[in-house]
Amino acid sequence: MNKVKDARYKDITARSILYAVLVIVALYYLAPLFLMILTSFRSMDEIRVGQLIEWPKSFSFDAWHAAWNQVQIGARDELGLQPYFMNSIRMVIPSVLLSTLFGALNGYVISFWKFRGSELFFALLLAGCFLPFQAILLPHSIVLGKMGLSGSTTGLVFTHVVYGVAFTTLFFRNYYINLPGELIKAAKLDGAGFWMIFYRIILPISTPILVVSIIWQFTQIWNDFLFGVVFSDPSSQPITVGLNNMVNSTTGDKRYNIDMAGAIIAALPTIFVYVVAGKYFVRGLTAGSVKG
Amino acid sequence: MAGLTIQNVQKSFGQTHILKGINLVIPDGEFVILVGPSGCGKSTLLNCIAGLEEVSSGEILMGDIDMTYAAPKDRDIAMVFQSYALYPNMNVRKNISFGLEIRKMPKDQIEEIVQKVAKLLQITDLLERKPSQLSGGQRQRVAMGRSLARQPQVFLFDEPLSNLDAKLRVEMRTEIKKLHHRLGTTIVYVTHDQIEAMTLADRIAIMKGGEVQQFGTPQEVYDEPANIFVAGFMGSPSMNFIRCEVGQVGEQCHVVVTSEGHSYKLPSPPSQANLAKYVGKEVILGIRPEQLTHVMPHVESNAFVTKVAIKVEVTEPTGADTLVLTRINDEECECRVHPAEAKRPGEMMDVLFNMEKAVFFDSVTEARIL
Repeated sequence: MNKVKDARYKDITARSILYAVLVIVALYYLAPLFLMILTSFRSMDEIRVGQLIEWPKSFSFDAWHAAWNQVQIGARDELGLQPYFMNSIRMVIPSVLLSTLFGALNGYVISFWKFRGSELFFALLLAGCFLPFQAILLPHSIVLGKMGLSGSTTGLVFTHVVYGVAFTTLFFRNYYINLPGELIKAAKLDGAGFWMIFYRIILPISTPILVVSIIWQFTQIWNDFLFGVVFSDPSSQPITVGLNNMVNSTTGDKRYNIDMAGAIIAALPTIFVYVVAGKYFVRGLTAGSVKG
Repeated sequence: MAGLTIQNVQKSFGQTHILKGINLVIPDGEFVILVGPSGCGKSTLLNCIAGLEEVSSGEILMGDIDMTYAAPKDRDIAMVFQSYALYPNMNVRKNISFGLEIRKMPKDQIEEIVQKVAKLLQITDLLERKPSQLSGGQRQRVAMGRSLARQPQVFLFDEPLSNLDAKLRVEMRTEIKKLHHRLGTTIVYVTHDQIEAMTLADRIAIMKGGEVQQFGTPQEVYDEPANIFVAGFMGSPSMNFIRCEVGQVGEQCHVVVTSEGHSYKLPSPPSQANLAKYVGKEVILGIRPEQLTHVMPHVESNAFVTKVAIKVEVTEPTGADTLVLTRINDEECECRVHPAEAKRPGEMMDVLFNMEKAVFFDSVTEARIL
């Protein structure tokens, strides 16, 4: 009897410790975000005289407005992060869609339409996942120059699609390899061809992995700084570059509230995408581990 | 509808020869079963017929038309798969109509066919459901419905019942047979289950190692197996194989078996005239368990029946009969006796060896001695 009781206390204790650790870690991770949000709503005067960490005395959106379209960044005519944000949108949407589509197509071919050397092809594609992007900056800029895409949004889209396809192909291939090959055989006998099978059968059952690919690519491309800073000119610089310029190019005192608001603005879309599609994300990543 | 002619079909993957020259002529409307152990090439042959895999050499004809290199969609063949391969994103109706839509059939005609097929297979209530909401048996029906809807020249079944539980399997087996009677379409059906093969087929092709060992009616392959492999593969419990020496008294050949120290001369049936060439040599006697029975007075007088005293090693009651395991010529041998007559392990009992349906195999080539 006592033994059972002991085991129960042990269990409860272990669990309490576990939860305590989890709560502390969660707080530790959330604290900076919380601080950012608080600071973004405080006025500069308040920040200057008060503590760095303090509850806002007055609550204002001034810093958000400023970061969005009032602050002078570099020597541009347009003010604020807005134009950068729009550049990012213009860049991220086609990049995500194209890299996901190509990934799906690649995965479909590698899984179901094997050809001589398709395994080697896949292995080479995989190498792209491990490629350090710094290494290709110079050659790739030459490629972009020869294609006449230097400094353009199209050039950035091209870059992100090319270097994103390795990952998206891996995602889709690993998802499709678990589908029964008989599905394709049945469709072939039903008279469907390559594209028909892809659109009518394979794509409709790819939702979980489509979501994974979209979230992954969106986050990667939206948060990318390296390609954004190297392959763009002022007309096409993405938000990450804009934020960097805003924080680093102001003279006089640091306006923490505007910096914080800007940083949150830059991060909002990825948070939004994750919240909207997040539940599919985990589902898609674990797909195939459990047979449905 | 059309028959199917398979001429010297070979298939290799690199150095691995899967099919080593298959020849089968299947008349229109026949139900043919390809049966054999795993890796015998039966599924590969089916895929070749469907056009899902290209043959390395040889010809496949449907009716008189050479289809060897035709695309699967142009062969007018429908196939039911082991995993059913229903499209998970489509409901039952769409699954059935997909092939018709692709062939650009008018909408009202499609609906008519879907209704007809659904009624035939009793799945009308399930038309709006997704495959994930169906049981195994229902999925099986939908998979059959999908192939029926196209009204193909030839049906191919790739182990369609192996994912069902035992009871459902027997039910569906009967239903497939009824369906064949009703439609009269040529069917090629792959299975590794010899009972399925025996019960369903008009003719059975037994395959091993990429070759057809025998192609004949169920009764033929059961009674007249071409070699030891076929004899052992068809029938459950399996045929007994006993190595024994051939002797001759006058015109009559016999084989000598020993049980518990006593020797018996078992006469060969008149159909086995060529056994005389093996006098003094060793052959393999093939005799089915049902030819080894308990003592029944009315058959005892038969000239081809010999009473042998055996020692019971193990008994396996099946309900209708009890299988009694013993040793003859130091090889395991199963007898099928009436449950009431079966003795317990360790005891002696008399068993009648009825040689009328016995077959003999060459001990080296393992081919039947005819």
